[in-house]
Amino acid sequence: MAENRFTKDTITGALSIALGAVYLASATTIPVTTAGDRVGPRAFPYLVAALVICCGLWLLLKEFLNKNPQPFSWGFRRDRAVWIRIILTMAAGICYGLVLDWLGYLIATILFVMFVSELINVGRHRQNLLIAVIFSATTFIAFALVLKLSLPRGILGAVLPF
Amino acid sequence: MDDVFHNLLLGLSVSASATNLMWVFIGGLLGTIIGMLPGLGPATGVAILIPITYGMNPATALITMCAVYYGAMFGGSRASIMINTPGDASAIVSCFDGYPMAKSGRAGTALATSAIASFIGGIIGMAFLIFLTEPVAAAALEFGPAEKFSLMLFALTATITLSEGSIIKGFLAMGLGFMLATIGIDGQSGAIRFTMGIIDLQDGIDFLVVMIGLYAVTEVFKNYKAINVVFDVDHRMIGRVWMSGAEFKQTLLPMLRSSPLGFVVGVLPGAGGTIATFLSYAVEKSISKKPERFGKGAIEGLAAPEAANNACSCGALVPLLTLGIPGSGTTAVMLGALMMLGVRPGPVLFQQHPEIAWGVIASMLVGNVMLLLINLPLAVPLVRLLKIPPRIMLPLILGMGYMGTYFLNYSAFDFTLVSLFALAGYIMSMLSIPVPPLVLALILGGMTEQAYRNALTISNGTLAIFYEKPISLAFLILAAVSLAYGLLRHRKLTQK
Repeated sequence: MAENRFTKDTITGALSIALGAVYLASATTIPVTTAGDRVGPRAFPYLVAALVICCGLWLLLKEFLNKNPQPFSWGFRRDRAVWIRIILTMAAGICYGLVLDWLGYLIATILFVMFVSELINVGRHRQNLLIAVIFSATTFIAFALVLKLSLPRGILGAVLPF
Repeated sequence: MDDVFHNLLLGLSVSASATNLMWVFIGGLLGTIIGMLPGLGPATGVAILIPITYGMNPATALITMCAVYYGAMFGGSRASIMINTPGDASAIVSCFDGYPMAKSGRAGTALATSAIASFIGGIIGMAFLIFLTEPVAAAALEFGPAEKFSLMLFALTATITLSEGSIIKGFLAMGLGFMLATIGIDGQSGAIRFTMGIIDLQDGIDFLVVMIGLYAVTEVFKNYKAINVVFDVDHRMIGRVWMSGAEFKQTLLPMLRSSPLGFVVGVLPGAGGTIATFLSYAVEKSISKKPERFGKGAIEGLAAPEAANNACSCGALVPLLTLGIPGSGTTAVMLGALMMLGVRPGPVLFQQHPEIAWGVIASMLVGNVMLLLINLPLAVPLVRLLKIPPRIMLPLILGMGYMGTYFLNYSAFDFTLVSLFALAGYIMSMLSIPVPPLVLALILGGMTEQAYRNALTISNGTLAIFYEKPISLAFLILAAVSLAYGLLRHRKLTQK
């Protein structure tokens, strides 16, 4: 596999240099106003970019001189199941935020917890549904009724008795 | 001296209110449960329990969070003793002798020893904390921008050099943290920086969003490799959770020795419970008359690190409360949560809100007693919770994490950020980049930049101000010393 030529530190170094360069380029476009302090809004970001790029260069150099490099793999193939779970969890989290106001806390949370439970607790549908419902109901009671925080009621708003 | 007692009384009157006592109990119990779960430590506990503090007044909120922090410290070693799987890094040492004790049928004694040693360490740590905070806070009031900048530089350097892993990657993580801190509107010039045109980023990135991502969701991702683990916990084997008089005598001196040691380690930025526990274990083993018993169920080998760990967590509160500088991931999360509530720990807190500062300190005394009461009689039911498999706990942790995100700013965009930071945290752990320097730099970034710019404005742009002021110079020297120490230690490790 091609990715095996790289070690942990060469990848880290290359990523840091790239990130530092983008950050540095972006820092040069910060508008400098005459108001405020004399140091200005660019100086500190320049220092930070220099730090990150230097760390990256150091790591690359160190690995270049390393006589016994340890190949590194992201494990996309070996740990495919783990990566799929991670991506789906992230997607579920993003969707949870998007539908929360519309569906209301109770329904959105049941769906989210149910979905991630299905990913993790594979095949036990009834148990997962039970966990999701109990979790949403308990947290809703704790936060909305006991701690009196405002939670979105969403489409259930008219039906909820309290 | 009178002042200290007067303040402590004020604190006790705040913490002893019925509401606050109730929250110390709830926070302590929840913290114990989360701290107990393998892989989830105090930072995760505080991060996902932040939502319960919303709507509280700042004093109650801080008291509750300290109880969670404390509870997690008490709970961390349950899993070490029962299933040989530490709840977090500072509970690793508790496996060395705690698990052999449990295996040889002394689980009840081990659980009792751990609770009692944690209690004694906590009380001794509190005593030091009470007498140290006032003078430190008073001294810190005199700090100008140059001193503040050098102090933060020292705190960050020490965090990098004292924690595990590569120093260069620590500095890299610090740089990444600073990068995140500079996103948003610059407080001093009003310039918009690094928002990539995204309006939601103009107010900057909320550090609690980053921490929920890095400490709650990333931890769940790391557990995805082993979701079908089932822990074999036989709670019927525990027996009576108590220690005999002879056992207490045997452990008393080790506990008394380890507590001050742990406290001092805790005060140092970056040197947290892991160093404190390993150090106290090493000390006890080296002065023991029968060092060969260590690792085979020596009761001192469990009591000493437990006491050191809790004393250390008290020590870590000194820089947090008096200087507003967190020395660890957990205290950084606490600082973030406090700033959400509009409380800014630091020297000014002791002047303007003594009831908050001292209420917290006093509540920790109360909390210690309460946690001892929770942990002795409830040891068996608590340990049974370890039987709940990760495949059921992990979705709940995710639910708590994402739900807590919602309360921060009521913003859907934060959910995306939490997901992205969780992925970033997972990638960082694969590449062995340490997380604490990033979190600390993110929290301290704004202040560090402000202090840097103010100092240079005062000095008309010359860097001399940082080494011409004696206190600032002292911090810079300390930073250099910690760097030199770190490099030496690193060289030793790689040569072995």
